[in-house]
Amino acid sequence: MASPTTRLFYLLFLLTFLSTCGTEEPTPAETVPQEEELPPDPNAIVLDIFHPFSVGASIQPELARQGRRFVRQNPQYRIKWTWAGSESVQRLRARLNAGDPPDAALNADAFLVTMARQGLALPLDTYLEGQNYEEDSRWLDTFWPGLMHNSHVANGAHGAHFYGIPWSAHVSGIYYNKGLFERRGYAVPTTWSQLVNLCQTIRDQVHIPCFEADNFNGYNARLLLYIATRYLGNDVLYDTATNRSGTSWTNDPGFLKVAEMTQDFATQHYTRGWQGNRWPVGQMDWANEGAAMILMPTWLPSELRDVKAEDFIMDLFPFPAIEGATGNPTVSEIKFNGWFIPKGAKNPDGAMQLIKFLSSRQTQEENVKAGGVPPAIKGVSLPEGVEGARPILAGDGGMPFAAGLDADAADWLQTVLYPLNDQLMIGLITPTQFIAQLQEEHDVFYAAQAAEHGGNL
Amino acid sequence: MSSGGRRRDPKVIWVFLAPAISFYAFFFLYPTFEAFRISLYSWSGFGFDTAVYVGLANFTKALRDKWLLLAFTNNLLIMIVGGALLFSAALFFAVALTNRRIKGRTFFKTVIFLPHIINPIGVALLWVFILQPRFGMLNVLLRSVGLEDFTQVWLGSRGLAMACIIFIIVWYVIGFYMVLLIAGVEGIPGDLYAAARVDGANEWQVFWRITFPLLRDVLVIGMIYWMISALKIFGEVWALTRGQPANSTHTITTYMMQQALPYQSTVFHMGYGTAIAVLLFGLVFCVSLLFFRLSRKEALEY
Repeated sequence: MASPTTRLFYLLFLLTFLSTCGTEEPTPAETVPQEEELPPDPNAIVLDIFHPFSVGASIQPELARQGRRFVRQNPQYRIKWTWAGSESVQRLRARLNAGDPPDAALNADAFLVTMARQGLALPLDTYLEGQNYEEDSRWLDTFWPGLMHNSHVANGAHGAHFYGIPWSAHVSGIYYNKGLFERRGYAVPTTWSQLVNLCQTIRDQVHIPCFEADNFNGYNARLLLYIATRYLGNDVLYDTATNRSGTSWTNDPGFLKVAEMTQDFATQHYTRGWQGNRWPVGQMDWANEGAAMILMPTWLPSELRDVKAEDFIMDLFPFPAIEGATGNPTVSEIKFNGWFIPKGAKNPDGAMQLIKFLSSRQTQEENVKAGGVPPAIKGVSLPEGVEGARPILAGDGGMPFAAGLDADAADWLQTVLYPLNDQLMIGLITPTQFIAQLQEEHDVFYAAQAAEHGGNL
Repeated sequence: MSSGGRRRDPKVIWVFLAPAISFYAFFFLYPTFEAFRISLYSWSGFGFDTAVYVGLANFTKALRDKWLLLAFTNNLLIMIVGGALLFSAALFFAVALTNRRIKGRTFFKTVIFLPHIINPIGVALLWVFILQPRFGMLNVLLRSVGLEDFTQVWLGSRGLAMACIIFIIVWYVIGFYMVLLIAGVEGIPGDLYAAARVDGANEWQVFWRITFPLLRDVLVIGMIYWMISALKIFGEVWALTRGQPANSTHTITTYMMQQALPYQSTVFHMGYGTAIAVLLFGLVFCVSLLFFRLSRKEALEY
C-alpha cells in the first residue's frame, strides 16, 4: 500500500496530466490568418539572407512576412533566411570562412566598416545612385543624411565607397520620464548648467536620482565621450584617441576638465550603486520610475516594450551644449543597422532588389508599428519614444558612435578607456589620476600596436 | 566453452574502432590542431587570406597582458578561496547528512543539491536580481531589518564583485561535491566507527582519525575536478558581471571571449583569443595529468 505522501504525489501528477488534456482554445497567434506559403520552384533564384534576429524575436515574424510579399511580387526569387540570433557574428564568420557567403547580411554600421576594410563587403554606390523602391527619388537621398556618412568608408579595400544600406536608424540622447517632467513642470534642458540645475531640483523635490545606468562599460563611457565632444570637439577626441595628432591627454588641460565634469556628474546625479546593475536591470529600474533620466540610444523603447508600465511615457533630448566650450555644441551619436553584400555573394542584384523592397516606405512603416524599430528612411513616422530624435536624424550633424572610435579604435576603447572611465565614474580614481593613467595606458597600447602592426589599429 | 582460444583479427577491431576514431579525429583532434595553427596568426577571424603569420607573438603578448594576468588571478582566487570554502562546507554537509541521528537528511540533501540542477545562466540571472543595489532582495532585506549600513553595491564594487562571484559559484556547485563526498563517507565500513567508539574515541577523533583519512581519494579526485572547473569557469561569470566593473572580474575564458568573439564591439582578435585558449588548454592539460597521476596511486584498503 502506498504511503499518503506517495498517493498525494500520484494525485497531483494525475491532475496535472488531466489539465493538459481536452480541447485547447486557439491562442491569439493562431487566430491570425496565416499567409499562404509559396510552393517551391526549382527554377527560382534562391536569395540567401542572413539576419541577426532569432526566430520569433523582435519583428522577425514581420520581416519574414515582408519576405513572402516580396517573393509574391517577384516570383523568380525564393528567400532562404538564416535567423542567426545572438551568435550571428560567429555564424557569419563561419559562413565567410567556409567560402559560402550569404547574398546579404545585416549588422551594425561599425561592423560593416570592418568588413569593408578587410575587403569582405562590396561597394554599393551604383545601387544607391538608382531609384528608390517607390521610384520617386534617388535611393541614396531617401535615407537620414547622417546614416550615409557612416556607410561611406574612405579606406575600404575597394576604395572610398558606400558599403552599407541602412535598415534601422539609432541616435543616442538623454531619455527622460515625460510624465514626471509634465507633472512637475520641468523644462527639457538645452545647456549643461540647466541639466545640472534640473538634477538638483529633481533630487530636492522628488527625492529620486537623476540618472540610471548599468555596468556595461560601453554605455557608461557615453557620458565622458559626450562631455569631451561638447567641451573640446569630436575631432580632438578622435585624433587624440587614435594617436593621429600631437595632442596628448596630459598636454591639453581640457581633458582634465572633461574628467572632472564626468566624475562630478556621475557621483552626484547617478543612482547610488548603478554600477551594480547588470543589463537590463538599470533600464527596467528607470522605466519603473527609479530615476528621472537615462543616457541611452534609441533602442531603449523597443527593449522596454514588454516591461514598462502602460502609462510610462518616455522621450529623449539631445545631450546639452556646454556653455563657453569650444567643441561641437549639438552633434549627437548616430548609427544604423544595415545590410551589406559579402564578397563572393552569388546573387548580389537579387539581394539588392530585396533590400530595396525592405527599405520602402511601406515596409519601414510596418517595422515601426510591429516593433518600434526606428526607420532608416525619411518620410516615415517615428516610433513612440523616438520622436525627440527627429531633429538629430534630420540634421546633418551626426557623428558615428563614440565619435567614430567604435569603428576605428574599438580595441583602444576596450582596453584603455573603458576600465579607467569606470573607475573615474565610481570615484575610485581622481580626475588627475585618470588623465595620468589614461596617458600611460595609451602610450603602452600604441607602443604595443607599433611593435605588432607598425602603429596601425 | 572457453573464449580464450578465439583469434582476434586486428582488421575487425579497426573496422569497429574506425567510426569512433574518425569522429574523435574530426571533432576533437582536427579543431585542436586548427586552434594551435590559428594561434600563430594575427587574424580577425574573417577570411583567412587576411591572416598574418606572427609566430609566437600572440603568446608573448599574452604573457605581458595585464588584463589576462588579472583574469588568471581571478581564476586562482576562485580555485583557492572558492575551493577552501567549497570543500569545507561540502565535507561538513556530507558528514552531517550521513549521521543517522539527524532528522530530515533527504530533505536537506535535496535542498543543497537543488541549485545544481538549474542552468548556470539562470542561476546567475537570479542572483543579478537578488544583488541589485536598489530593489534587490538582499539590500531590501538588510534595510528592512535596520541594517542600512550593511547594504552594498554587490556586483559593482571591484573586490566585492569577485567575492560575490565566488560565493555564488560555491553555492551553485556545493550540492555536487556534497553528493560525491557522501558516497565516500557511506563507503567507509561501519565496523571501523564501531571499533573506534569501543576504544572511547569522541566524534572529533572519529572524524580526524577515520573519516577524513579514508576520504582522501574522493577528496583528491573532487579537488582536481574543481581545479579544472575553476580554470574553465565561464557561464556564471559572463552572466553575472561580463567581466565588469572596470574589467576586474574577468576570468581567462571571459577575457578570451572578449578578445575573439566580442559583445557589442568590433574588436576581433581571433588569433590572440585562440592563443589564450591554447594556454588554457595547456593549464588544464597539466592539471589533468596531475589528476591521472594521483588517481593511479594505490587506494587505501579497509
